[in-house]
Amino acid sequence: MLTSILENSVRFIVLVLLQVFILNNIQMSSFLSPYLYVLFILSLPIDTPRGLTLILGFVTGFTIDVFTRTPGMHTMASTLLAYMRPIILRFIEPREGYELGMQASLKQFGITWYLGYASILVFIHHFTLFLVEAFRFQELGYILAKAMMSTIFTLILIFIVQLLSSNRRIID
Amino acid sequence: MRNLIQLVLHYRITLLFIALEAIGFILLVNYNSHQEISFLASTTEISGKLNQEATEVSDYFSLKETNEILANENVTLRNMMRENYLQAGEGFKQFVDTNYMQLYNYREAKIVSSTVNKRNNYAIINRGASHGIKKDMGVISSNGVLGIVKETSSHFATVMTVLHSRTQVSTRFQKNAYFGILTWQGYDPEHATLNDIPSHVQLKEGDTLITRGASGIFPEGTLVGTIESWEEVPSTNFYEINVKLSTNFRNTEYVYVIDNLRKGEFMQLLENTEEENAN
Repeated sequence: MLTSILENSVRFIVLVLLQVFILNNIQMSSFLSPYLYVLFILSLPIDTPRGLTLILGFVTGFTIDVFTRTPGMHTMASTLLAYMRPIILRFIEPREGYELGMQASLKQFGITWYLGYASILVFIHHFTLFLVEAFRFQELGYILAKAMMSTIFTLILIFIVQLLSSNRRIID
Repeated sequence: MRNLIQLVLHYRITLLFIALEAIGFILLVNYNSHQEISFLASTTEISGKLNQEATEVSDYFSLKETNEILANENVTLRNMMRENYLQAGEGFKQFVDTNYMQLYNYREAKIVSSTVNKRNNYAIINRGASHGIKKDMGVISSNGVLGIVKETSSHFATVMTVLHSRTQVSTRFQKNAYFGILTWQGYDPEHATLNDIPSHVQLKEGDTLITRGASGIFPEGTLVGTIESWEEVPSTNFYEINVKLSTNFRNTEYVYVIDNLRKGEFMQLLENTEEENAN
């Protein structure tokens, strides 16, 4: 329990710093903005209470908002992500069910399961974020395209992090 | 009553979700309104400091390019020095000028963090209220218009760049006095759109656009960009012009903040005029 809290706190700090100081400065095209920090919420233990997940999602989004000076945007997207996560988890539950203390990681569940899990949630987050950012529906086509491209980019980063850290337990 | 409590308990997660989203939405809406938010002002100082630390490292990688830009600018300025000019007329001319008074004051600053890929982009500069930076001052780079100061903390300020849905730059042609409003469409950090140019004006690809100096934020004649393409908006008599911005928002590091010394006078005049119209 205590290790889990420590592990997740370290993951939170590392991902937020990575996002704010490195990824936010990668500006290849306005179509590609990766938001790797969502990995924090994706990687919470599966049996995290729903209320706690929600609050953590809110706090994560708010932290990013403070640094990127976009109050509300990441907060709303991350809170929605945190709300959807248990629903998606139930939806794609393996036949034998989840075990206590399991983490939603690539190593634990394999590539098919993880790809499905991560791509749905990352897309929900990115789409909400870009929609809130544009704040109108006229640009829907553009927002959809941007959300898809960025989701792919974020997924690639998530897989790289998961593969790199599969030996160490800190970020996986 | 018990049913109600049970209902609330049953949907407690959803209710918490709605409450949290509502907080997010309130933050979002307040930010989108034009009001000053103390929330942002207080975080400017913290995130500015952290970003400055990070930029200090990354600066070394662009030293060469920065030097080149500065050298070019020095050349331009040197060319403007009085020693370079031969006195054309006979006799003396006095240069202690009572005919001209200084209108704009420049202050150098450095960008510590900026974005280009959001719908609304900001830059944070390392000069703030303690250096005399105030809200609504103009910011230019050596290549052209950059943005307008939005908020200040004591050592940092945020600049709403041209790449922002609320930034409007009053822009005119260099070759004639037709003017329009330049806005950013939100997709491409290298291009913006100029509206309100009547369709009888002759346009040419590469025509230079400069600021009009209408609001006293930018001095007249600051470079904005060049015309790349245009189309006539159907059923209006105006063009929609695609402008290639002269500032490269991705790699600008050193900027100048412009203080209009007569701004108070200017705004007072505008205010008086509007009051009279209202009466």
